[in-house]
Amino acid sequence: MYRWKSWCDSRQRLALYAATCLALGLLTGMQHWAYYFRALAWQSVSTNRFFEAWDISFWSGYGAVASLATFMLPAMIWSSLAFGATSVGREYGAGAMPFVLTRPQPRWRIVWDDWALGAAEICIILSMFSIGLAPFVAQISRIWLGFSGVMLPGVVAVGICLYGLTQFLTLLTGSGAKGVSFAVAVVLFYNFFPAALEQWWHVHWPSKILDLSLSMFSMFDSWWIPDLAQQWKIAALWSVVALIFPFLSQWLIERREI
Amino acid sequence: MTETVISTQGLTKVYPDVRAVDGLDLNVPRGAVYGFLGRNGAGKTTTIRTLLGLARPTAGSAQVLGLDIRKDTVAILQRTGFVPETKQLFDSLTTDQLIRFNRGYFPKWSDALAERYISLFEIPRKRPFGKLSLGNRTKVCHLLALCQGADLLIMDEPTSGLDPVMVDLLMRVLIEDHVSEGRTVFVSSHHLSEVERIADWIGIIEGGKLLLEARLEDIRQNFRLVTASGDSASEVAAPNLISKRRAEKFHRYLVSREADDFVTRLRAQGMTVLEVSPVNLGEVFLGLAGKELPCIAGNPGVTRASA
Repeated sequence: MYRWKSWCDSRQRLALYAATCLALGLLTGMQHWAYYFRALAWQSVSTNRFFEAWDISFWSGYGAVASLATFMLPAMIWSSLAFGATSVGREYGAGAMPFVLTRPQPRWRIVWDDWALGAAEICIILSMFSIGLAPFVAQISRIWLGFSGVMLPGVVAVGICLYGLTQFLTLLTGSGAKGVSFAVAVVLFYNFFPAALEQWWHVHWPSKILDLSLSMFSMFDSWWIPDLAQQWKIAALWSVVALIFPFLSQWLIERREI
Repeated sequence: MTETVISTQGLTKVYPDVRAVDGLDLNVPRGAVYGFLGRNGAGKTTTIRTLLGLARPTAGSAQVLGLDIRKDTVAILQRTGFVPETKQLFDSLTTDQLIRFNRGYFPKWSDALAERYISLFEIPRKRPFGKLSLGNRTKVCHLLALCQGADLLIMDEPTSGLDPVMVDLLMRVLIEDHVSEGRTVFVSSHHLSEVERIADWIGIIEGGKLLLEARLEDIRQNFRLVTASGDSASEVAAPNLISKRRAEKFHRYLVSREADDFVTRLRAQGMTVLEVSPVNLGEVFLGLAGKELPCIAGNPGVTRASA
């Protein structure tokens, strides 16, 4: 039942975020689709040899998917933090935790119900970009259509990981604002501290699991060939990491006293 | 032997800075309305939290509805209605949504009863909980606890925010709809007059220790307040003596039974017995948990704080 309560709280936000992402996906797809046909038209009348040899299909597809990644990163961070901050831990700060914990259900179930719903919502929101973009990319390049599909699980897994981290920290601190603040601090530390150590003190930190920023470079094994295997590796590794946080939250809530 | 619904044996809860519950031995009989009384910080809410699995006991053991509080929390909660001290539920949900939420946990939930109490308590159905007044929040908390078909109702400060009419209504609902069905009600409160109205058992806790556990009827019939004067008060001791307090040259003794024997004992020690009077719950509570203040000479019973 806590999942139903979480659903009541989050459904409007889900609709808003999902609609925004779908619209952005559609607009981005339309934009690249238009560029693609304009480029084809130019190529048909062009006398420039270099332009004639240009693979318009590949590079238009690349542009569309690059835009997809550009929009997905902030959407992933924003939605993960927003859904994490409004997860079960905020009930401590709101004073409703005695009520939640005196409903007859195991405590682990509260955490997992809440986490599962949030993870599903993040998955839906981030998928909306791909859904909006897909019909247009399909017209341009089959390779990049497949790649945009393969990229999605990696982004979603990182998003769920960040969401789980925020959920855990919200539970730990009993406040959504504090949970988000600490989650941002952890992400910044994860991304910048190793680089700072190496840059200023020449200390080599153990390498990160995979780049959280999901930069475009991680999509390629060489400059020309999209690396699908790398994307699946990202998805698999971050999925494993993502599962750590609900277990941590479960551990915490089962030991927490009021 | 009377079956107990709540039973604790040496229940102790220690926090880093305070021993909140200290060796509590509580016995709440089935079908009773048990008034659990104590001052602020006496350990009432901590006891309730421990019984409901919100806090883990440091030592001792306890059974609620015959189930172990350490192992059977979910089973206990399935059969226990709880009105929390804070009266805080989900701010975003309306009364109807809170009913829907709560109904899912309790197979014995009664929609008919919910409709009746919404009408009786005049609870707004469509307004979010966060926008309700304290009184209406309290009513919603009661509604959820009363309709789940619980065998035991645990209520922590149940009347906070309620006006006298609603307090009266709630008391009647508790007695007519729940106690009459054989359910047990455990009420923790500061409001002695309200507890005295409905309770048939009383437990008084102070400093985490249970000072008294008795039938209210027993208190009314047998407990006596003996006022005496004399110099040998400190030597007075008797098994039925619950408390003794001094107010300058007067001494007040609270005895649980056989007050005549106690009076005889006082007189034998050369003390002058001024009055033997029956007591109400407030006097018992103050006798056990009250703090002594300097007394104005020659007027026992009138106390005033020193400047």
